[in-house]
Amino acid sequence: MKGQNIHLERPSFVQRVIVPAAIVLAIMIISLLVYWNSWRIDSVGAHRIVANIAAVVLFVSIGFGSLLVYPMAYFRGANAGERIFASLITPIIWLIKESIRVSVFYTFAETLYYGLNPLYLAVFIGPFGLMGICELVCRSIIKKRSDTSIRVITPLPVAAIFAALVALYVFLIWGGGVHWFYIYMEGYKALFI
Amino acid sequence: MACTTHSMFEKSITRRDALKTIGGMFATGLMVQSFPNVLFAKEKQPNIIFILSDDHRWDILSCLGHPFIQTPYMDRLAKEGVLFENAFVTTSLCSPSRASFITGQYAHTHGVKNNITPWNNSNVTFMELLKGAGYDTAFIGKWHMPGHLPELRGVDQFITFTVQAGQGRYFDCPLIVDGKEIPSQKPYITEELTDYALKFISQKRQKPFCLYLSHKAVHHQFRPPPELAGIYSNVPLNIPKEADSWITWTKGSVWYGLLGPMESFFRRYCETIVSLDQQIGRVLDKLDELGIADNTIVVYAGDNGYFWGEHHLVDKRWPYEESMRIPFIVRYPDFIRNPGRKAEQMVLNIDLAPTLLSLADVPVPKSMEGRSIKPILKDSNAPWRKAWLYEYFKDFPYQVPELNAVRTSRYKYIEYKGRKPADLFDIVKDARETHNLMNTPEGKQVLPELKKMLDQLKKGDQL
Repeated sequence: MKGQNIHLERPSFVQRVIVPAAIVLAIMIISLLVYWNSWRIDSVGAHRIVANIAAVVLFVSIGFGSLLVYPMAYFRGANAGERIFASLITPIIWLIKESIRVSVFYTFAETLYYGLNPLYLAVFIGPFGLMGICELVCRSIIKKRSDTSIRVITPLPVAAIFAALVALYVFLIWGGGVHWFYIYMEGYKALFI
Repeated sequence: MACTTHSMFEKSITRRDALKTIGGMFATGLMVQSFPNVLFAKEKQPNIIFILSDDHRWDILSCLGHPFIQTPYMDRLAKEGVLFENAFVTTSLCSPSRASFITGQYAHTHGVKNNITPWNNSNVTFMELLKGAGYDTAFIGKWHMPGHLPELRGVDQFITFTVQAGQGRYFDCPLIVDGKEIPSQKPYITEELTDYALKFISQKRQKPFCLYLSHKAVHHQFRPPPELAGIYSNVPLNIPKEADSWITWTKGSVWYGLLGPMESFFRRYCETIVSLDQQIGRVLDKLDELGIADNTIVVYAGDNGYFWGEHHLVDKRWPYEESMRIPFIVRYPDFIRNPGRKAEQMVLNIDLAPTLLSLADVPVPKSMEGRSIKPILKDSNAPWRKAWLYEYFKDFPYQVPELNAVRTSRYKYIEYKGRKPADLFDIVKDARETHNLMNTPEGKQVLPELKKMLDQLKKGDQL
C-alpha cells in the first residue's frame, strides 16, 4: 500500500494507471485479432501453432492480466483504488465486448442478466484474488528493499484472495460448474419465463 | 338381345332377387378378400424398436466412409434395411427434437421449444396410439424434457433418469423405474439401459411390442466405458480448416461444458459411439435369438447432429448441415424387399411417429405434421416432399438467434430474428455453407421462391 513512497516524484495518472492497463489491453486485443484470423494461414500446422499461442495469450491476458498490471501500477505509485481500476480494465472491456456480442441474441434485460453468469462473475471476481496476491508480494518486496516496517499481511488482501477462491469454487468447480449454472438458470426462468 | 336375355331369366329369378344375388356375391367377395386381414391383422402387427441416440452426427458411421470409426452393428442395420442419407431434425436441440420424434409434430406445435419450455401432458404420442392398438409398450432411457416427468399415457413401463436435470450420468446413474428411484445395477448407463431393453423384449407375450430405447450416449461428457477409452487416442482427426483446439472456449461455447482441447472431446465422442454401437448389437442379437427379427421394425436415429469445428462451432442448434442432419436407419425384413439401399429423400424426425403408426396399421392422426415414409421403404423412387421447415427458438444462455429456415434439395434460406442478417446457401455447390448468396445475382434470383416457400411452411402447408 505504500509503494508510492519509493518514488521521489509521483508519475502522472497516465503513467501509473493507463500505461500498465493499456499494455495488457493491447496484448488482449492483438491476440484476439491474431486468433480469429489465424485460420487464414494456409499451412495447417502453422495455423494450429499460431492459434494455440494466440488463444493462450488471449485467455491469460483476460484472466491473469492483473498479475502484470497491479505490480506495475503499484511500483509506479498508484494508490489502491487506481491499482484496482487499472487491473479491471481488460476484463471489463472483454465483458462489455461479449455483452455487445450476445445482445444480438437477447433482449436488453436478458443481456443484463447474462452479465451475471458464473463465467463473467469469475472473470470479474478472480482478479481480486490475484490483486490480493500481488499486494502481498509487492509489500514484501518493498519491505526487503527499503527495510521499512510495512506490514505484509493485512486482512483486506487476504480476504480478497479468500473471496476469489470461494467464488471460483462455487461458480466453476462445484459439480464441475453445473450446480451453480442450474441455479443461475432457475433465476432466468423465474425472471423471464 | 336384351329382350332375349331378359326372357331367359324372368322365369327363374326376379330383378330384386338378381340384385340381391349380385349384391350378396359382391359382399361375399369383399369378405373373402378381406377375411384373412381381419383374422390375422393383430398377428401381422410388427414389433417396433426405436433406438434414439443423443448428438450422434449423421456421418460418423463406418458404412458412410468415416475414416476411422467402426460401427459394425449400425452398418448391419443399414445393410439389412434402408439408410436415409438426407435425414434431418426440424429443431436441432435435444428436448424439442425428442418431443418431435414422439409426437410427430414441430416444436411450435408440441410446445417444447427449447430446453426450458415444459412438456405438455396433453400431447399425444405414437406410443399411446400403439397401446390403443394392442401393443405392449416401454419407454427406457433419456426423457430429458423440461418440467416434471411426464404422465406418459399408453406406456406400460417407464424407465428413465432425472439426475443432472435429466441428462443423466454415464457412470452409476440412478434410474427411475416406474416412478421409484433405484441405484444403478450396472456401472455404465448405455449397457444398463440395454439390459432393461433386452428384458422387455424377452418377455413372453401374445401382443406385439413397442420399445422406445432412448440413450444418454453420445451426449457430452462423451464418456466411453473403460475398455474403449483411448482406442482412438492416436488416430489422425482431419478437423476442419477453420477449427482449432480452442473453439470450445470461444463465441459462448463455454456453456457447452467442453473446457479443453476440442480434439480430445472428439476422440472420446467417437469412442462413446463405438460403445453405443456394441449395445445396439446386443439388441439385434437378441432379436435373432428370439426369432422375431423379421417381424420387428428397428429404427435407429440421432436426436440432432453436432459440430466438431465446422463454422468454428461446437454443439448443435445452428441450421447448418452438421447440426441438423441425423443418422436415420430403418430395418424391417418382412417389409423392405430390397434392403441395403440408401434413400435420398429428405425425411424428418416428425416423420417417425406417422411411419411407425402406418406400418402397424394404426390410423395416423391429422394432428401429426410428419409423413409416413412407408412409400420410400417400399420404393426408393417414391415421390416426396420438396421443402421443409427448420425452426429454432431462443434457449438462454446459448448464443444462437431464434430463426426459421427452409431447406430444399438444393437451397437453404435462413431468416434470423434480431440483428443477424439472413443466410442463403446453395447446398449442392457449397456443401459446407461458406458462401452466403444473399445480395448476389444468383441469390436474388432464387430468393423470392424460397421466401414464398418459407411463408407457406410456416402456415403449415406441406410442400
